[in-house]
Amino acid sequence: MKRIKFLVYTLIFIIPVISLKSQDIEFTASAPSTVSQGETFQITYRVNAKGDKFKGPDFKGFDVVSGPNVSQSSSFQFINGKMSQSNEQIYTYLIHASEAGTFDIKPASIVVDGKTYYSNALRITVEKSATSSTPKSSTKPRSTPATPTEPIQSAGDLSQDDIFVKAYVNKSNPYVGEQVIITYKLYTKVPLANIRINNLGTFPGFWSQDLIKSDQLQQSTEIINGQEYVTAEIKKSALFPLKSGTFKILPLEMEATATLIKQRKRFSTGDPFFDQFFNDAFFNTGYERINKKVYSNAVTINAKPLPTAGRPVDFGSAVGNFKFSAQIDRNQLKTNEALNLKVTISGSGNLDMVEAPNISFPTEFDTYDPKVNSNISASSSGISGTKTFEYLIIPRTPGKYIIKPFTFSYFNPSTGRYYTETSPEFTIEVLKGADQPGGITYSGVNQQDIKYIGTDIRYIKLPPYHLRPIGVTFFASKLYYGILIGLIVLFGLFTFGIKTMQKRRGDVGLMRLRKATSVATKRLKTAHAYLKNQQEAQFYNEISAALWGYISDKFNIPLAELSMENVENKLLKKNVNPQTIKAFIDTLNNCEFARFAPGNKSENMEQVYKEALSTISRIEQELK
Amino acid sequence: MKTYFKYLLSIILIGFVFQAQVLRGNDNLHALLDSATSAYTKGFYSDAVVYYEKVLSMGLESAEIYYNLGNAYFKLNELAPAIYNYEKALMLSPSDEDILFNLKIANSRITDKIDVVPELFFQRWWKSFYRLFPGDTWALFSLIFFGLFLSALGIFLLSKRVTYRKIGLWAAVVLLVLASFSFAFAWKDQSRQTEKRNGIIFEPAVVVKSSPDEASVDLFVLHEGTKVEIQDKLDKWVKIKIANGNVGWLPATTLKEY
Repeated sequence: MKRIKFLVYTLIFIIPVISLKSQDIEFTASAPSTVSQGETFQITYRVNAKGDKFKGPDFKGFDVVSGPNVSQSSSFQFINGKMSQSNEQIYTYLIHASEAGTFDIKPASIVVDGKTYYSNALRITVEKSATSSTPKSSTKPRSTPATPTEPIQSAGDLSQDDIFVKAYVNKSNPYVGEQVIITYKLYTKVPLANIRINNLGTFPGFWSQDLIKSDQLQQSTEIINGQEYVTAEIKKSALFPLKSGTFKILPLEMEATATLIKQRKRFSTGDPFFDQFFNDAFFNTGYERINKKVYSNAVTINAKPLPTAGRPVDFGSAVGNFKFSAQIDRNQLKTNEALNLKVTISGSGNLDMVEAPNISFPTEFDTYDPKVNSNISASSSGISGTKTFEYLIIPRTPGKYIIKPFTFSYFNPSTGRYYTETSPEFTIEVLKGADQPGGITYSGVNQQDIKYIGTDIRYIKLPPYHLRPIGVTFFASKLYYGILIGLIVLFGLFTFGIKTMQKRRGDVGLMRLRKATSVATKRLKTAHAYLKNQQEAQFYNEISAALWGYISDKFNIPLAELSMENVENKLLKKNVNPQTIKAFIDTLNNCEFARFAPGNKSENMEQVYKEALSTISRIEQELK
Repeated sequence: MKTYFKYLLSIILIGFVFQAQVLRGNDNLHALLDSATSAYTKGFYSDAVVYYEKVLSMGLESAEIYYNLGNAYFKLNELAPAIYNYEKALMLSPSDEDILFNLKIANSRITDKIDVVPELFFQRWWKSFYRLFPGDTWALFSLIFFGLFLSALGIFLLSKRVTYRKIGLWAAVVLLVLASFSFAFAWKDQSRQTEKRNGIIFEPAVVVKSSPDEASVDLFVLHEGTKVEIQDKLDKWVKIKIANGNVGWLPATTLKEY
C-alpha cells in the first residue's frame, strides 16, 4: 500500500517536470511581413535550447545573400541553490527580395535532444517598388545630373535601383599571397546627405590593407541602362589570401541618408508667387531625410595554392613582382669598426610579408638583427614600394672574409613562375684596429669554448639499408617457431639416444655398480650369522667373497681376473688412501690365511669381521 | 664492437631469415634509394619524400628509411609527418641515437608543450633495458638462450659426475630465466608494432571532447605533431591520453596511428 502511494507521488512530481521540459522548447521564425522589391532583409530563427542539425527551408522567390549564421548564448542561474540553465540559438539569413509577389516560406526544422521541432511558416509579401515599375528612363530628360542640390524625385520610398553598392574584385582566382583589389562602389540616383558604413565586409583568411580613405570620396557619373548614376568608390582594399581555398566575403552593410524634397501642401496659398517663394530650393526647408540600409553583394574568392613544382628551397612567402639588390658600404675596414650591408627589395606585391633573406655571415663577425625600413605606398592600383634590410656588421678579428652570395626567391603570379635572384659575393678585408696590440703576445692562452651556432637535425642515414618486408618480424614467424620446436625435438632425440646407448653398453656393469655395496653388506650379514654359530670355514668364505665381490662389482672386473696387485692398482688409480688399501689387502690376506691354514681361528673371527666392515665402508666413502 | 655485432646480427637476420636475395637483386630499388639520397643532399626535399614513400609503398621498410623520410618532412617544415616517421623508425630501432636526437628537435618545434608525468625509476630502467635491442634481436636471443638451456639440461640429465650435474642444473635455471625474458621482450615489441597503441595529431588544431560525441564538452585543444596514446576506440572516435595524463576523445581522422 505504502509502495503504491509512493509511486503515485513520484509520478505526480515527475510528470509535470517532463511535460514542462517538452513544453519549454520554442522554435520560432520571424521576418517582416511586407518588404519592397529589391530590399535585403533578415529572417531569424530562434530556439531556446541547444539544438543541432538545423535545416533551413528553401527560400523560393528570394535570393539568399548569406546564412545561416549561427549565434549562441547560454546562461546559468543559481537561485536558492537551484540551478537553471537557458540556452538560445539564433540562425540568421540575409535575404534579398528580387521578385515581387507573395511568398510562403516553409518551416525550418531543428533537432533538440533527439526530437525534431518545426518552426512556424512565414508569409512575406514583396511589393513592387515604384521605380522598377515605371518604364525605363527614356522618358526622362537626359540633362538632369544627379547633384545633391537638385531634387529628382518627390517624397516616397527609395527603390533598389536608386541606391546600391556593388562589390567587385579584379581577380577572383588568385594565387595564395597574390594581391587582389576589392572595390565597393556606391551608385546613387538621389542626392545623399550622409553615408555610414555599419558593417565593413570582413576578410577572414586574408591580410588586407585599405587603399583609399573613406573621407576622400571621388565622384563620377556613369550611365547604366540609360540611367545616369553618381558613383563613388567608398572602400577599396588590397587583399592577400593567406591560404588556399574558397573564401566568401560577407556583404558590406551601409546606411545611406537620402535627401528628398517634400511637397508642402500647406504652403500652397493659391498664389503662384508665394508658392514659388516657399517652394524655392533656397528657402524651402522641407527636405525629407530617408534612411536606407544598403547591402553589397557577397564576393567569392577562390585562392589557389602556389605550385610546388620548381619551388626554390629558400622561398618564403613573397608573391609579386620584385627587384632585389644588395650592397655594402665599404670593402676595407679595421677591426671593431662597423660595416653596413643593405638589402633592398622593391616592387609590387605582398611586401609586408617579405622576410629578411637568410645570410650566412662569417662567425667572426658580430651581427645584429637587421633594421627593417619599409616604404610602402597604397594607391588605388594596389600596394607597391620598397623594403630595405640594413645589417650592421662588426668584424672582431682581422683577416680576409667572404660573405657568400645569398638569394631571394619570389613567385610572380602574372607569369606563374618562381624567380630566384642572387646577390654578389662580397669580399671584406679587415685590418688590425688601433686597440689591438701590434705584436704577438704570449701571455696566457686564448682558449674559447666551442660556439654552437645553430641547431639542426642530423643528416640522413646512407646505404646500405637493412630493408625488410613491412610488418614481417622474425619473432612469431613460422621460422621462429620452427627453430624452437626443432631445438626441443633435437634435444629429446639426443637425450633419448644417449640414454639407450648407455643402457645397451653398460647395463650389467651399471647394475653391478649400484648393487656392489648392497651385495657386500648382505654377504657380511650372513658372515655375521656364521660368526655367531662359530662356523669358521663358512665365515671366512663369506668374508672373502664379500671383499672380492665388492671390488669386482665396483670396478666391473670379472672375478677370474682379480688378484691382489690388480686390486691395489685399481684402488690407487681411484685415489684411495694407501693406508686404507693396505688395511683392505691385509684383511683379504688374513681371510685367505685363516681359510687355508690350521690353528685357532675363532679368536680372530670377530676382528676380521670388524676389519672387513670398516675397510669396505672407508673405501666407499673415499670413492665418493 | 657494437656496430660489428649489429652488422653480424643483421646479416644473420636478413641474409638468411628473410629471403633477401629478392631484395638484393632489385636494381630498380637501388636506383630509387640513390636518387632519394641525392635529392635530399641537393635540397629537393619534396622529391626525396616522394622517393622514400615509394620505397615504403613497395612494401619494404627499415628504420633508416623512416628516419630519412622524417628528415625530409622536417626540412619541408611538415612536423606531423616528420614526427610520425621518426616514431616509426624508433619502433624498429629503439636505441638509435640519431633518431632520438632528431625526434627531440622536431618535438621542440611543435605547438603543444606538454609536461610529461615522470615515470618511476624502475619503469625507466625497464624501458631502457628492453629498448636496448630491436624485437628481432630479442627473438634471436631467446632462441640462443633456449638452445643453451637445453644443452645445460642435457648435461644435468646425462652426466654421471655430481659436479657437472650441479653446474648443469644451475646453468639451466639461469638460462631458462634469460630465455623467458628475451621471449617476453620480443613478444612485447611484437604487440607494440601490431596493436598501434600511439598516434600523432595530423590536423593543425583539434578540440579534444569529453565523450565520443560532437555535442559534448570541449576539454582542451591539441595541435599538429603532438603524440597521444590510444586507449580505446568507438565508431569513428578514439580515446586518447596525452603525456601529462589528460584523457579525452578525438575523431579518428585527426590522427595517424602507429
